[in-house]
Amino acid sequence: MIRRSLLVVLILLWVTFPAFSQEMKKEVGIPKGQFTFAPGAELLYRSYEKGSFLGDTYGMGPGFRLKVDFEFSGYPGIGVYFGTQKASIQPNRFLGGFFKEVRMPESGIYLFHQVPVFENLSLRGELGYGQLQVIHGLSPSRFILDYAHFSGGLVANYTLAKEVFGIFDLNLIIGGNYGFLNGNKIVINDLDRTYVQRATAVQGVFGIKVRYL
Amino acid sequence: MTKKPIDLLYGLPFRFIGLVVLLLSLSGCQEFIHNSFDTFTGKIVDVEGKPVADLELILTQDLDFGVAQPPVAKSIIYSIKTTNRGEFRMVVPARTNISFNTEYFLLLSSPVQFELEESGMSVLYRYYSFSTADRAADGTINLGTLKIVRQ
Repeated sequence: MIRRSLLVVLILLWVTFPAFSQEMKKEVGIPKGQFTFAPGAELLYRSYEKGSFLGDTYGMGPGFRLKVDFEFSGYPGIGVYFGTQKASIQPNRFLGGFFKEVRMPESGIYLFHQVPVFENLSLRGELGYGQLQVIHGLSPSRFILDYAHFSGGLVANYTLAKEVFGIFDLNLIIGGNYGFLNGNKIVINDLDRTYVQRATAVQGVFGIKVRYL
Repeated sequence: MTKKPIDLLYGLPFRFIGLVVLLLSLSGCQEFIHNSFDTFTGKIVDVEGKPVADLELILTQDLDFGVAQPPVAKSIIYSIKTTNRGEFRMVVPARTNISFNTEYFLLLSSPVQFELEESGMSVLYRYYSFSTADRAADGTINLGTLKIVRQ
């Protein structure tokens, strides 16, 4: 029920963002339609819901994410990201104690739309799709689990400095998102399938972004 | 004697081919099947065919066959108990058939033994060995009904 409510809220925000945008576009410093790109680096922490394989098997630590936004100002944009997160393996009944270390790299793509709220503050909605890999051990004894990650979130974007050297804005980013993970490629017995293949996750991010004008 | 530049160049393609072959060999020798788990299932019954509940079973790949003593697990993958219906289920990452490590042992820790059929005769073993070669499409390896004898 909570999941559905969150999903509905995210979709509503996403759908209504263009309406806000029409009201507030006068405050934007960048002319509408100007192409910008914005590389950024974020610290992230993602937690998987308990009661799923990902939630019960791994103790999550901090991670990072590198991303680049591409947009024509005032219109929805597109971005790509790559990130990874530290994790440890908890006692479990699936991995047989075969592995000591695990890595969780993820890469993906997202659509976003950014709306100014105050002069230096804007909010953006994001809808993302990524491929998460859970990599246990080292080659040739690696064991990899692949998950598709669908997510939606809200990010606040605070402009720390405008037109630095006349070429970029420096922004502070803080936000969060909620995601669904689907590992339908994973082969496992019927009784454990849903537990292993499905998970939900909450993620918080904090970072900086350089928006080239 | 210093090598001519042309001699050095001759070695480059071979080094590149060697590197490619090495990488291919490493990728071909993967120990585990990605995105795949094996599940070992079965049922433990007594000599009368009744399910044996709460029987401790040890899954291992590393048995020490000592002289004049029961085999001992040098490392334990799982230690579980059978359900009220005598059933058990254990899940591990699936190993490739070329990993040379596809043999598992189910070891009894209680003073009981498996009664197995060998050449038409009943033989008692403290362990039951099996391989993961014949897995079903969902990774299940059904060990069937295993009979135990209490000593």
